[in-house]
Amino acid sequence: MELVCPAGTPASLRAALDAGADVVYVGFRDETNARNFPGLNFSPEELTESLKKAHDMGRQVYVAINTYPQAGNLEPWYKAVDTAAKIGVDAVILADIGLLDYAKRQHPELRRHLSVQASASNPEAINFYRSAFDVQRVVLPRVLTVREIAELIGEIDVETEVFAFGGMCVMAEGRCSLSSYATGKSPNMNGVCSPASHVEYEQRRGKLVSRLGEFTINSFPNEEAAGYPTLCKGRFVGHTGNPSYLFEEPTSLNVMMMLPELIQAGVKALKIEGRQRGKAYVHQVVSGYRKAIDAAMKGDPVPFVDMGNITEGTRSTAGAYEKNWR
Amino acid sequence: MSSQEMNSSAKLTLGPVLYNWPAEQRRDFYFQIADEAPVDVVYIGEVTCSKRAPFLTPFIPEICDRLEQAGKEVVISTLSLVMSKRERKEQHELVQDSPWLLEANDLSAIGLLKGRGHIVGPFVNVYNEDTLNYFYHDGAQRVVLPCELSGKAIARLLASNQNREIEIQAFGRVPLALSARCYHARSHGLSKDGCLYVCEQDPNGMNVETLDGEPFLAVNGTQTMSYTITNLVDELNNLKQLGATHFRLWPQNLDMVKVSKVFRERLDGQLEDAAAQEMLSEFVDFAPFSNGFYHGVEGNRLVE
Amino acid sequence: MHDKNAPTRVPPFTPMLFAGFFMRPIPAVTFKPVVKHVLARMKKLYPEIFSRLAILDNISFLIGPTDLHYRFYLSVREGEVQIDVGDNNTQGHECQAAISGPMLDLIKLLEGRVDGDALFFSRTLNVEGDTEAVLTLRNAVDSADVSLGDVLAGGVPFIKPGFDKLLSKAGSLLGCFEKDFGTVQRSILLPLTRQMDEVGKELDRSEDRLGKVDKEFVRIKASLKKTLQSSERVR
Repeated sequence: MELVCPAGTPASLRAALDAGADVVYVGFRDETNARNFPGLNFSPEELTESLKKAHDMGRQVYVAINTYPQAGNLEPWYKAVDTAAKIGVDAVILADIGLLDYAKRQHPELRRHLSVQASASNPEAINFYRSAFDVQRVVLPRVLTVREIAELIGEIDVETEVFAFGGMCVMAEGRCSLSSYATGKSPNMNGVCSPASHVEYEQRRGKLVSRLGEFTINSFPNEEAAGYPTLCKGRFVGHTGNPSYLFEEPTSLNVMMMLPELIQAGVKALKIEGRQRGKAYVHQVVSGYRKAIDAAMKGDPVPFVDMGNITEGTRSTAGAYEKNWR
Repeated sequence: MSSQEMNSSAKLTLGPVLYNWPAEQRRDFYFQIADEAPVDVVYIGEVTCSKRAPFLTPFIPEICDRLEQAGKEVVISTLSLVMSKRERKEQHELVQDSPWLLEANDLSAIGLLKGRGHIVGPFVNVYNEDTLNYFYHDGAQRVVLPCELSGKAIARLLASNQNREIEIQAFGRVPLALSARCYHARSHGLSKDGCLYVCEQDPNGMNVETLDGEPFLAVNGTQTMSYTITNLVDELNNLKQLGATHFRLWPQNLDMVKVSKVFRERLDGQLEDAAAQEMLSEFVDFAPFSNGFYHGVEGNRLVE
Repeated sequence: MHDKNAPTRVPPFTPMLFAGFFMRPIPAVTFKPVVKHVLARMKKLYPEIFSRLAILDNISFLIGPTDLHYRFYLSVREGEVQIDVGDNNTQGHECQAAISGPMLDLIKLLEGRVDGDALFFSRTLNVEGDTEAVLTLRNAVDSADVSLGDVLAGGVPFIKPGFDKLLSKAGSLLGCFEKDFGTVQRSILLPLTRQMDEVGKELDRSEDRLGKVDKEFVRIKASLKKTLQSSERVR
C-alpha cells in the first residue's frame, strides 16, 4: 500500500518525506492545478530540487495538472506537462480529455494518472480512460462505498488510489459549479473552490460569520469549532425552515479504521488531501498514516492515532465509504 | 428582422425533465410539448436519480412515438452519476436496445457509445477545443456545453468546431453539482435508501436560503441547482452568428410552451430582445433571472 | 480596517499574559531594533518566504498577540517587506488584514510547528480583513523551515550577548507553563461557566427573535428586487 502525501511548498515536501511518505504530489504555481492558492506551490526549479531529494531517498513525486485547460489558451497546460516530463517526475495527474490526449501523444513514456477531478466512478468510465489514454492509475471519486470499490477493482485493470484523509468534497469532484455560481471562480476552470479572495470573516453579535461573495455561509458561536468557508459545508435553510448543515458538516475524512478493508479490497494507494495545509499538518497526518499502514500490512490491529486537532470542525467522518452517509 | 436571421436554422431543444414529476404528469407534459411547443429536439430520460427511473420507463415508447409523429427529434438522456451495479446494467441495456439517439451524461456512456453517433451531454466536461474535437472524432454529432462557461470561452469553442453542432444552455435553473448523497432526503431527516420520494414535493426544486434568509440554491434530490433562472434570450442572435446550432430550454414547472414560443420568435427575428424579456418575466415568476456565467462573473448575477 | 479595531476580546489566560504584566512598563519602541533585526535576519536566511510574498501589493497586516499589549505591523510595498511594533494605543497604521491569537501560538505558526488552519478551526486564531492576503502570508511563511533559534543566533543589537540563549530558555519555560495555566484556568472558571451558560441561553433566545426580524427584512428585499426586475423589463 503506497502512501501518497500532499505538499504545497518544498518545506512541506521535506516534512512528508521525513514522516514516511512513499510519494509526494505537488502542483505548479499557476492555474494548471486544483490548489491554485496564493503563495503556494512549486516553481520548476523548486520541483527539480525536490524531485532529486525524493529520488535520493528512494521515493517518488507526482505532479497534479488537474484543472481543465481554458478554451483558446491551452499553452500553460501543455507547458506544465512538458515541464513535468522534462524534469522527470514519476507521474502526472490529469483530468481533461484533451490534455490526456496531448500527454499521450507528446510524452508516451510519462506515466499518466487519472485525477479525481475526472470523476470516473465506474468500470466503464475507467476502462474508457484506460483504453483511450493508457492511464496507469485512477484516483477514485469520494462517492463510492468500500464495497463498491472492491467490486470495481475486480472489473478494471488499472491501479486505484483512494482518499484516506483530509478535506472532503461532498459533490462528485470535477462536476461542481457551486463555487463559480457564488464567486465566478471554479475548481475546474481556476483551480480554486470558494477562493479566499471572495471570503470575508466578520464578528456579528458575538459570532464569527463567514461570507462567500454575496452570501452568508456560516455563523459560529464563539466556542464552536469552525470550518473552511466552503459553500457545501455551510449552514443553510431548506425544507424545515431551520438552519442546518444541509449538504455536509464541517468535517474531515478519516478512514484510518477502515484500512484493513481497503487493503483487502485491493486498493493500491492511499491519498492524503491538503496541499493547502501547513507542514505541521503534513507531518502529523503522514506520520500517523505511516504507522497505521505499517501495522495493517503486518495484519496487526490499526493503532488509534488522534487527529482531532487538525480536522475541519475538529471532527472526522468515514464519509461516502460507508453507505449510510448517503 | 434581417434575412440572415430568417434563413439561419438554429434549433430549439427541450432538455430532460430534471425534477421528480409524477410519471403521468411527465407524459402529459410531453404530449403538450408534442402538440404545441415550437421545439425541434426533445430530450427525455431520468438524469438525476436512478431510483426515479422505473416510474417513467414504461411511458417512454408512447411519449417518443407521439413526439416523433409531431416531427420532433427524440433523444434519450442517460444518468449523470453512475455508480451501482443496477445503474450500470440499466445503462448497458439502454445503449444496446435504444432505437433512439442517446445523450451521454457520464464518461461511461461515452465509452459505450464510442464510434456510434451520440450527443455529449451537459454533465460531461468540455472546456476547450482539444476535448471538443476529441469527442467529435469519437462519434459525437453534437456537444452540449457546460453551464459555467463564459461567452468568451463559448465563442472560442464555436470558432474551432468546424461547423459541427453545439448546444448552449439558454433557459432554466441549471444543474450545478451532483452527489452520491440525497439532500432532499437529508433535509427531511431521511436517508437516500429510505427517501420516500420527498423530492416529488418540489416540482421546481427545493429552495435553499442562507442564514440571512437570502435565496441561494435549489435542491433536486442528489442534484444541486441554481436558485436563479438562466436566461440568455438576449444573447441568442449573437451566439447563433458565432455558430451555435442548438439552444436548450430546461423544463420548469411553468408554461414551457409559452417559453419556447418566445425563444422561437426571438430566434426567428419576430421579437426584439426587450419584448422577449418582457414576455418571459411576465410568466416566469418563482425566481429572478441570471446570466452571470455567460458574462464570466458570478453565475447568480444578472448583467444588464 | 483601522488601528482602532484592536482585538477587544478578553485575552486568553496564558503564561504570556502573565509575562505581559511585568512587561507592561516597557514601551514598544524599546523592541523596535530587535524586531527589525529579526526581519532582516529572516530575509537573509529565508529568501523563499519573501519571494512568495512578492505577489502582494501594497498591503499591511496587523499581527496582534491577544495576551500582550504589543502589536506588530507587517507591510509589503512594491516587493519590500517592512515591520514595525507598537503598543495597543499606537496610532497611524492603516491595515487591510489582521491576524490575532496567543503569542506562543503565533510563534509556533512562524516556526511551522502548528498548522494555521487547525488553529483557525479551533478558534485560537482570528482572521479579519483581506482573507487572501492572510492566506498568502501563511503559505509564504510555511514555505521555509523557520527557526527562531537560528534567527537570533549570533546575537541581537542593543542586547547583551547570551541573551538569545536566555530567550530560547524562556520560550521553552513558557511552553511548559502553558498546560498548567489551562488547568488553573478551568478550575477558576467552572462556577462562572455554569452561570454564563444560562445567560448565554437567554441571549440565544433573544437572538433567534432578532434573526427572524432580519430574515423577514431580507425576504422583503428579495421580493422587491424581483418586482423591480420585472417592472424594469416591462419598462
